[in-house]
Amino acid sequence: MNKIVPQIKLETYEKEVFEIDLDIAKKFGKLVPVLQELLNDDKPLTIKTINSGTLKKIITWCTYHKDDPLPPEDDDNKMKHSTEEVSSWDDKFLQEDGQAALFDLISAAHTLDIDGLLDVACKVVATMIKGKAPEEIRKVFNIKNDFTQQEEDQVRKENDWCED
Amino acid sequence: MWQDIPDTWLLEIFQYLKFQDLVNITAVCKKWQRVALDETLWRKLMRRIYNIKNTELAPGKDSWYSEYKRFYYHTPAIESEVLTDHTDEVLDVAFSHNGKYVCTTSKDCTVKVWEIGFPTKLKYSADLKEMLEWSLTQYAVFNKTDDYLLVCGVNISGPYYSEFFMGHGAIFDMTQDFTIIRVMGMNPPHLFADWADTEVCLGGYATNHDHLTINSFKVPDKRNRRNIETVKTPDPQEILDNTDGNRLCTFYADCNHTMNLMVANVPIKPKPLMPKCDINRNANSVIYNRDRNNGDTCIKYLIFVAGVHDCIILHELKNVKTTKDFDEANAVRPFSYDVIRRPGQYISGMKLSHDHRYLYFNFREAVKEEENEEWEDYLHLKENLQVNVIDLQTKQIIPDIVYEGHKGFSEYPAWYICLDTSDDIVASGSEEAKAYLWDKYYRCLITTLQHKEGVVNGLEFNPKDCETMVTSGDDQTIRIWRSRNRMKSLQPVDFS
Repeated sequence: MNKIVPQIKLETYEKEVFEIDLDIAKKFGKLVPVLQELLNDDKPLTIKTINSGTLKKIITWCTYHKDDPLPPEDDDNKMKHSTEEVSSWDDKFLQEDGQAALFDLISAAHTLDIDGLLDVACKVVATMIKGKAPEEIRKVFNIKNDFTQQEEDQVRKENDWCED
Repeated sequence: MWQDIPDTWLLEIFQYLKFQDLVNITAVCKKWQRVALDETLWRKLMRRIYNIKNTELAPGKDSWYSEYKRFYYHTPAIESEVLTDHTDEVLDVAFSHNGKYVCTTSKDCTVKVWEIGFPTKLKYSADLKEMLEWSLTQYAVFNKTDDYLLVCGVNISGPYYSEFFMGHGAIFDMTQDFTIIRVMGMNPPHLFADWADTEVCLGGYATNHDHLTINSFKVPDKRNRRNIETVKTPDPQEILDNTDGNRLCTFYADCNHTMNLMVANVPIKPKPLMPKCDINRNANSVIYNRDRNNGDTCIKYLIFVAGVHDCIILHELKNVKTTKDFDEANAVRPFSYDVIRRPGQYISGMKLSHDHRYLYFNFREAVKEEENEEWEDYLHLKENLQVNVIDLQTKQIIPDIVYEGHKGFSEYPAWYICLDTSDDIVASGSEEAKAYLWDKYYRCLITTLQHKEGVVNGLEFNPKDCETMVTSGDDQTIRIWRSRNRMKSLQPVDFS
C-alpha cells in the first residue's frame, strides 16, 4: 500500500540529510524553480545556514499548515490578514524552544522564502515587543544600548507624543 | 543576534506593531530607531488605521510619521470641558476672529459669550426673551474687529405672526459691556445674517413668498446710541414697512427656502496650482491652499441658499451704501448673479474657508419618486450627508472632492447642518450626536467627537488655534475639544 511520494533531499549545517515530501517542499519559495531538478537528483542540496533542529521544526510547521489557503494578494485583504491573531498552536509551537530557536526559524524562513511561516513568526516576535519599555526590550533581545545619555533623552522627548 | 539582523527583517516584524510600540522602540538602539521610523511602516499604518488610499503625502508635509502624529496628537479629539449653562438645545457656536471668545445661541433664548481658557468661562449672558421678547437665539457672528456681535433670533409668538416666524437681529457692543446697540427685523429667520464690512451687516427682509430683499444695517455712531433700556424690538409693523434697514437688493426667489446668508471676500488672483501634480491630484491641490487672504484684492459676494435648497446664489457686491437711496451698484438684474444648481440635492448648510476662497456645503440627496414632480421630490431625503466644495474664484464645484460618512435623519425641511474647516481639516455636525473630522487632503475620517444625543448643531475651530474646537448640540451642552498636545500643556501643575 506504500504510495510513492516524491521527495527531495536537503542537507543541514550538521550534514544531516532530510527527505522532504514534494507537497511540503513546494512551500519553500526558494526551491520552487529547482524542484524538478532536485527530484531527479539523488544528491542532497546543502543549506549550510540551517541547522537540523530548525529544519525539523519547519517541516513540522509546513505539515501542520499543509492545507492552508494561499495568502491574499490584493492590498486590502493583505491588510486584513496582517491584523489576524496568531493561532494558539502557532504561538506555542514558535515559542516553545526559546527565543534563539525562534530567531533561527525566522532566519531559515527568509533563506527558504516561506511566506506563511515568516508572517506568523514575525507576528510572534512583535507580540514579544508590544507594551514593553525600551530597557525591557533590550534585555529580552539582548540588544546593546548604543545611545549616549544625551541622545537617549532626546529620543524620549521626541516620543512623548504618544504617551497616554 | 537581534542586533545584527538585516533591516528588511526588522521591517517585517515591526509592521505588526501599533504606533505606540513603534515609537517606543525608537529608544531601544540606533538601528531599531532607524527602522522603526521607516516611512513604509508609517504609510502602512496610515492606511490601516485611517484608510488613506493616497500613495503620496499632502503638499508641504514632511513624512507619514509626522502625518500620523498630526492626526493623533494635533487634532482636537479630547473633551476638555462640558459647559452646561444653557437650559435648552444649543443651536450655534461662533468664534471671535481673535480666537478669545466663543458665542453660543440657544432655544433657551439666551446668547452667551465665553472666554476661551482653561477652564473656559462665561463672560456675558443676555436673555433676549426678557429683553426683546424673542423666542430663541439661533445664530451669531462677530464683525471683523470683534467689536460687535450680531445675534439672530426668532419671535414665534409675535402679534404679527402670519406666514413666517418673525426673524430679528440684535447688535451687541463687545467694547461696552455687551450692550445692545441696535435691533433689526430680519426675515426669513433661517436666512441668518452676516457682516458686509466692519460696521454694516446684511440681513433678509421678506414681504411675501416670491421675493427677497436684502437690507443693510449700520452700527449706530457712538454719539447717537440709545442705552439698552430704550433699545426695543422694532414694532413688527415697522419691519413690514421696511423702514428699519436700507434696501440693498431684491431677488425674485422663494423665500421659504432661502438660507444661510453670508458675505465672502474672495481673493481675486488665482493661486498657482501645486507644482508637479498629475491630473488626478489637480482637484486636491487646488483646494489645499494654505495662503491667507491679505484682504486687499478681493471680490465681495453675497451668498445664500435658494430654490428648494438646491441652489446657491452668488451676487457680487460693490460698496454697500448705508443711505436710503436706491443702491444702483448692487441692484439685482437678469444674469447679474451666478446660480450654482444642484438638482436633486438638498443643501443643508454652508461655510466659507478662512481665506474665503472656498465654500463648503453639506447636502443630502433626494429620493427620486417618479410620481412626484419638481420640488416634491425633496420630501424624502437620503440619510447620507456629504460635503462638497465650491471654488469661489471659478464659481465651480471642485470635482471629485467629497467628505462623507455623517448622517441626517430629519425630513424635509431638514435641519441646518453646521460645518467648518481649518488648514488641514474639514469638520461637520450630524444628526447622530457627533461631529465628524476629515483630513482635507486625504479625505479620510480622522476622528468623531461624541455628544450625548440628538443633533450636533454648532461647531467651530478656534480660528487662532486649529487644535481647539467647540461643538454644541441638542443635548444642551457646549463641549470644548482639544488635541492631545493641548491637553498635555493643560495638565495642572503640581505645586506640592
